[in-house]
Amino acid sequence: MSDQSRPILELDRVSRRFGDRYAVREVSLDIRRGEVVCLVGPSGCGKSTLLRLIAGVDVPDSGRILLDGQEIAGPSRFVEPEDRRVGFMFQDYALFPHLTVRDNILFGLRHLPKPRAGAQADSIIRRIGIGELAARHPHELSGGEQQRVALARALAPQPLVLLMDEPFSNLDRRLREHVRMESLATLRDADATAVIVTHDPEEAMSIGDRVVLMRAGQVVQIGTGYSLYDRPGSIYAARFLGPCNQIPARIRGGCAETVLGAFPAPGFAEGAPAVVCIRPKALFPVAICDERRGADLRGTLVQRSFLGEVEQLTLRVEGLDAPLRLRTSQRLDTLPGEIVRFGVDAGQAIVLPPEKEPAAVAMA
Amino acid sequence: MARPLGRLHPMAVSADPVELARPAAPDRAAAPVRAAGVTVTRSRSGRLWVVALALVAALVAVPVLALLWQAARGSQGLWSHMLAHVLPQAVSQTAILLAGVGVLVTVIGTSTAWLVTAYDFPGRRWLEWLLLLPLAVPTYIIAYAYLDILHPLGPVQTAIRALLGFDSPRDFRLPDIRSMTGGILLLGLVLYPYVYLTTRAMFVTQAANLVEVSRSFGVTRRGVFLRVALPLARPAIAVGVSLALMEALNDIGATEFLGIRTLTNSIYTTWVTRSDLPGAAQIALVMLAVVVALVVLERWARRSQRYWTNAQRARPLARHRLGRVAGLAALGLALVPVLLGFVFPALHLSIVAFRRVQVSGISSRLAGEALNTVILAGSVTAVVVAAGLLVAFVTRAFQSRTTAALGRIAAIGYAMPGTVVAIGILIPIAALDRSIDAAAREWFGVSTGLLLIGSGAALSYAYFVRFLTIGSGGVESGLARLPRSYDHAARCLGRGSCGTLCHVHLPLCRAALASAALLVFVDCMKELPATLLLRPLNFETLATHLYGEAARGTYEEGAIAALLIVAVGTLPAMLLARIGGKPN
Repeated sequence: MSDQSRPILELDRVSRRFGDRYAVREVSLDIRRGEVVCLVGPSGCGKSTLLRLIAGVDVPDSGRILLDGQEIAGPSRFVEPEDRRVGFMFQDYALFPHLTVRDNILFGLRHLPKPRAGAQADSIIRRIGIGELAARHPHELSGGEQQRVALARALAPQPLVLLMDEPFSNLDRRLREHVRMESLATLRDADATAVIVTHDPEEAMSIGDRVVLMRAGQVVQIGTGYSLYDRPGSIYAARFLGPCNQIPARIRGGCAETVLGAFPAPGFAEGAPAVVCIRPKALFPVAICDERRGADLRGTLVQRSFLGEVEQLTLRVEGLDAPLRLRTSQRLDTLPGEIVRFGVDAGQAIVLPPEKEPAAVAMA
Repeated sequence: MARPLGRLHPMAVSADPVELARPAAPDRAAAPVRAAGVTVTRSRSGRLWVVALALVAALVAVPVLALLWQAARGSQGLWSHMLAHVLPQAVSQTAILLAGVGVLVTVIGTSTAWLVTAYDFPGRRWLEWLLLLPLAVPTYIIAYAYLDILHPLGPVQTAIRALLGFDSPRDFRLPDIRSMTGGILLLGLVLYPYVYLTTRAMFVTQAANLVEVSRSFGVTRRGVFLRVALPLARPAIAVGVSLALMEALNDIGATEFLGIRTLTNSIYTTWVTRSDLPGAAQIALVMLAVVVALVVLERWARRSQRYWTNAQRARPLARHRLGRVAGLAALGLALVPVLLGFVFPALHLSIVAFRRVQVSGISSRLAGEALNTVILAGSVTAVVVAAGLLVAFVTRAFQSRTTAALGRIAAIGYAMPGTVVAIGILIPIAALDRSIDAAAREWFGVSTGLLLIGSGAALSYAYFVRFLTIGSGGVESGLARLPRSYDHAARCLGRGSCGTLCHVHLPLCRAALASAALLVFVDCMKELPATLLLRPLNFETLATHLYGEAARGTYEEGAIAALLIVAVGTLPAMLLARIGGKPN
């Protein structure tokens, strides 16, 4: 075995093209042992293609992929998926309908002597707690049960890396949260390294040790969920990870000046345009906590939408083109058309350079 | 873990064209552009599979290439003879026959399809599949049966004379069935199910929304058929008609019995009676042009059909319940093609066969021929289904432009009439046989005769070319139902392509394999034109036996042979009915 500090999976400027469009472009990424990494981005951003390249069911056009220090895809080598020791869990689970749960799990253990394969299958069945399902066929299982069986099947051969493509998207909302936490516990328990693809930023931030944000085949930002959410490097990242108000600003005296006040902006050039991103939760109605920081601002209430846990207020503020969204858990008795006084939690405001036109995706 | 990481392929570096075409440096501008979704495999096992597919495709392509080669070297004098004496009549007769059959199958097929989808009347459920039964009667058998039924001394004319009080056929006789009109009628009666099948599928899955919308705008039921349903079904009709016309073009028996001299018959006489292979090849080429036109029609229609099927979700049409009188009238009307195309001929054959068996039993000769038929059809079926599995699997598992092109080549046989395939095979095989014979005489002093033709290998080859598409298409439809993630899951769980095929694909498409095998078997059993041209000397199948008797004008055991073929032929019709009967 190679040295433990080396990343288990290394991607080195990997690209994959369909026609003249890049699905994955020059992606470099290291994944450490035991790490759970989430690839997140809108549909079509190349995250699933990247997963398929790692699994070996698709071939990169350029770049190298190394698994445990050995090249598995590159200009001179290509290791077939069956020889990679990479597990793959599919969005539709892909459980073989003609095999029982136990036989599905045994499917990946054929290289072991029969008794050992059986023991290994039984151990994973016990660990994931699907003992009572072992003799059933996939069509007799509920969605959540299928998900667990698929996870068990992918983990059974003890892959070096487990790849999961939208593993929770086929579950209904209420079940999803529970299964997600359960699956994460299983991964931690097995000390597995996992790369999980999802389009849901909340899911990515809640389960990933690190989150890889992608756009148009390229990596936009890599970091923990906190760092991505709190310190997005671009307006794209800020907007993708959660709702935010974009307030146009100009830098004066080291601060980004906006209609809503000035925010410290170290490192920005004097006089340059900027955008201040303020999450709706960083705005608060002033009547109920006037001693908090932030200017006393006013806006006309345009719309109230009750979201359950919080309420979103849409405000029209003089000097701003776009309406402002404010989220609060307080109940207000203001009616549309009336004035709302509000403040900004300046510590949560993010000053960013204005968004450039998205980089040209197609080849020149 | 015992399993080593990566059995690396040393061959992956070289010799693969795709790999060689890729620049080693990240010089992307020069890299070849690949189609979307294309996965390139660089493993050795993958290459073996593709080579196997290429072999199958080559086997199918050889007859066509041989025809082109033969035509290219054909002498000028021959062509002028053909153009002056053979082709004008054959082409015009073929054109009239195809046009007539085309109109007839369209009328019968679409009207019956509309009747059973838009209306409800007593017996409708039965009719839905009864209307498929004429598919079980090959063209040469319906002609054979009606020649007997409508013979001046046959049951129908005798009965009419008795009814009208005439004594002898000289006083009264019906117009002779042995005519172009007769041919069109008889072929149309057994070929309309192709149009019925495709059109009904279209009506069932597509019509509901549009029909209900147009009804809400006040269009009458009849208006809906003409203004909404028919235009909607045009692609399906075109597909059905082109399939029916391919069958009509392929026919050799019916036209021969009825005295219509089509291109197919010209090929047969040019080769069998005049032993003029280049001449036969030239006629075959003309037929190939007709076939290409039909295939283009079918492809074009399928493309627009895909658009429609994608456009909406299937929802059954609410049927209009007919009153008692109208319902009985509808039943009677829809029963006409079933009675004429299946019940009457089958009944007649049964009666004649029963009498024959009562009088003299079944001869050992006929039993031997039945055995020949089953052995030949069975062995070809096994090979065709295996090759079809190969084609379907390789085009799925190793997607690339190469495999897609090879897959298309392997599928060209379905449209080629049996005579064309046979002539295309005769050209290289006869030459091969001659050189084998010459070599054997030179080295061993013995003559092998015509080894490949005499052993039936050439005939099996013709069946293979003609029916491979049925095999591969059947398997493909089974594989298409399996999500691609099954393949990927199996690979990621450590199985190679072979393991995936054996442990995932095969067990999951057993039903598709079985129905493909059934279809191929029945088609082999019914096949007449290629069998006539390529069978070994003194080798008879049920179909050629029937043809021989009809050609000689003797009526001995032909009816038994015909009945056997029809009986086996009803199996796929029932299979189709079962598939078509499912709501989705």
